[in-house]
Amino acid sequence: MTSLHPNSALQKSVLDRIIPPVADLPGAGGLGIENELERMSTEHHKFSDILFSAIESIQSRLGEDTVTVENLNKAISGFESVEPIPFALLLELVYLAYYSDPRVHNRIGWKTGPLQPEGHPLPPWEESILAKVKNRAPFWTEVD
Amino acid sequence: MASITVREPVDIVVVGSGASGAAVTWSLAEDDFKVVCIEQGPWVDPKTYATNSPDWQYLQRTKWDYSPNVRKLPQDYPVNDDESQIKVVMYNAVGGSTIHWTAHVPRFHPSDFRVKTLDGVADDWPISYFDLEPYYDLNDEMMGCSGINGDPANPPRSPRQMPPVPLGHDGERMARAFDNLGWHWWPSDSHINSIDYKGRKACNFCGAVGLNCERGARASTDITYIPDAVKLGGEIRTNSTVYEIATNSSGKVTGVNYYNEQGEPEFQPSNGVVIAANGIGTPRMLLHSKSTSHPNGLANSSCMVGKNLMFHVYAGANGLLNDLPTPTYHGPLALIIMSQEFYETDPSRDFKRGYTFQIGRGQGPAPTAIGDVPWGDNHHAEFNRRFGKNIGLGAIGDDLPEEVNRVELDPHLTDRYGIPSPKIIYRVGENSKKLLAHAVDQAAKVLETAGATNITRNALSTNTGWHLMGTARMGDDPERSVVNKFGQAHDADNLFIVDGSVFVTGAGVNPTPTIQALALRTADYIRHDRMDLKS
Ligand SMILES: Cc1cc2nc3c(=O)[nH]c(=O)nc-3n(C[C@H](O)[C@H](O)[C@H](O)COP(=O)(O)OP(=O)(O)OC[C@H]3O[C@@H](n4cnc5c(N)ncnc54)[C@H](O)[C@@H]3O)c2cc1C
Repeated sequence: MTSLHPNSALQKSVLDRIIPPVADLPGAGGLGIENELERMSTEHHKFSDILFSAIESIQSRLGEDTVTVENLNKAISGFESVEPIPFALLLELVYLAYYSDPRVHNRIGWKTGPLQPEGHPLPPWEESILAKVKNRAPFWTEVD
Repeated sequence: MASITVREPVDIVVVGSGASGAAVTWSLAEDDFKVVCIEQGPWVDPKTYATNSPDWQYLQRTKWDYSPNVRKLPQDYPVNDDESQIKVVMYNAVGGSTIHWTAHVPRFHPSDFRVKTLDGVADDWPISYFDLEPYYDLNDEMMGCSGINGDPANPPRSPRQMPPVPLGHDGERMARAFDNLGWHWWPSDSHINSIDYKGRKACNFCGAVGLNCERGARASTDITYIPDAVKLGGEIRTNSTVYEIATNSSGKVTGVNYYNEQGEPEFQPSNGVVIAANGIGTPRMLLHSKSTSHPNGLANSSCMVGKNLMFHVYAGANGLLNDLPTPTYHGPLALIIMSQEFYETDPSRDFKRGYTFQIGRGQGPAPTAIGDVPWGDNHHAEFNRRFGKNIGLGAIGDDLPEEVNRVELDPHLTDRYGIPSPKIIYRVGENSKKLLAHAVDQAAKVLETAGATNITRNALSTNTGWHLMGTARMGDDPERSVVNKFGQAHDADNLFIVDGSVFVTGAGVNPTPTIQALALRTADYIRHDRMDLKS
């Protein structure tokens, strides 16, 4: 049982509306993250069914309307205002899948891969920064 | 039901291996008490931490989520917090919630123990800051503390084990903003290694402190107290869920009933029991341990078990620092700066007590986008504006106790064994609302002074129920409190409580060093004054 919607053309359009193409990168619909969305939906109960039911709901809001940017915006906004919790979950899922993609990382300057073991550099601790506050007299309240 | 296996008797059973349970287990093992710590969760293999996975952003929001209601791991009990303005977070495993914590460890102020005398609110504690001071010091030695002495907002303290964790360019900018306003700031004491300490490596600033790291740079009790306790002969019995503290007809505790790793019931007899299941898990267990000698639940003749629940209240402001040489996701998520300019009561303000400012850094790409960046045509512009530039200044406010804020047993919801889940009823009090309104204005002022743009105000953070306090409070009066000044139950002299439940007030700082100091003090009391519990 897949979590993707059988109307893959509509699903692609919705994803592209949520995160549109930028520079040389396609949007979330064209990027080819369906497998990732599928994995994320099935690996944890939190996202199960969310993609399918969201596209279902957007599809029913579109009705017979043609799939234009304007109509999609209206249908997605309608879903967002009537079902804010499932919508927030949909957004979370799509953002997670999109922002886990190495091509996206490359574009935004984020080093792909685990956080460890490399970490990040920080300039060393410099005690001189305390100069001003060190001059302040103790101001904690003394009690018996 | 299957017949119950009875285990060999021990001196002391400790329930829970988090911040407090681990400390008590270690201290008692050090004095040759036969001690077994029963923990409902498993050992967590550091190799499995999310920081080792390229999928860390997804893991952070699923099986490593802070909320047990999202994770739903086998050992997690569901928490009904529908009627709580603040949602509960915790972790259930060896190490408890220190598996997830950010390890800021400021101490209570002396005034926090005397709020009734000084400010006419809540109650005084039956102990003072100076009663706890040696235990704070011992705890810092065990966990490893980075910091620097000389903070004018606090009493002098012993030299810290390690220098402060570096502030980073964003931290320096914020420090100078506090300086420019003439306001206090200081590097927060932190149980994160700034240099190698006791075989654990120095932090390499990957950012996601709450996800833990294989370096062991951030202390959690599974890699500090517990290995030492095991070396001293203490036993950690994992995947074992206590469902009842057993008592005899004279009201004394006789041991604990629990489900073992296979889900079978067992009884562990003991001369005494120490409960360390946190400010939610402890009242849950006490309320569930009804008997003829404790008809309201164990140690509850005062009817105070579960009442006076305190979280800390959080609010603040966020902004963007656009001109820093490095992104704001370099460095521990909770930046190592605190300001206690507004900590003590000031009669010119319309609220009592006060708050500490702490700073939250930016995070990786998905956490930056989720919650803050809109979908649609503005998505990329807004993401680019924020990524690597966002900074948050949060106030952690003293949340005064009120009996209406409480933990009860849920009449319907249960865990996998059918043990009733806790139901949380909590709303932010009037004093807290005024305190937070003040804090939000001051936070915005600091960010403006730091040159931040796009400043937004956050009137109340809600997914922040990580400090669980007050639900089995300490006091001299058995009619108004559950335990005495040594954490010993008024109603059963061989029962002790050592987690945040015993707090009389919450103060305006993170609670864990105080929880651990209290646990070590209780252990010391047992070691010196309750030798009768040692066989
Ligand atoms: C995301 C996050 C960030 C935090 N950051 C900070 C910080 O910067 N500074 C700070 O001071 N504090 C912080 N905290 C809070 C800190 O983690 C807790 O205050 C501390 O761990 C509480 O210690 P404890 O011993 O009371 O409970 P816990 O550490 O929660 O341990 C309780 C243990 O008891 C076990 N248990 C419960 N019920 C049973 C049962 N029936 N049978 C067997 N075992 C049971 C649980 O599995 C758990 O392991 C943070 C917490 C979180 C979640």
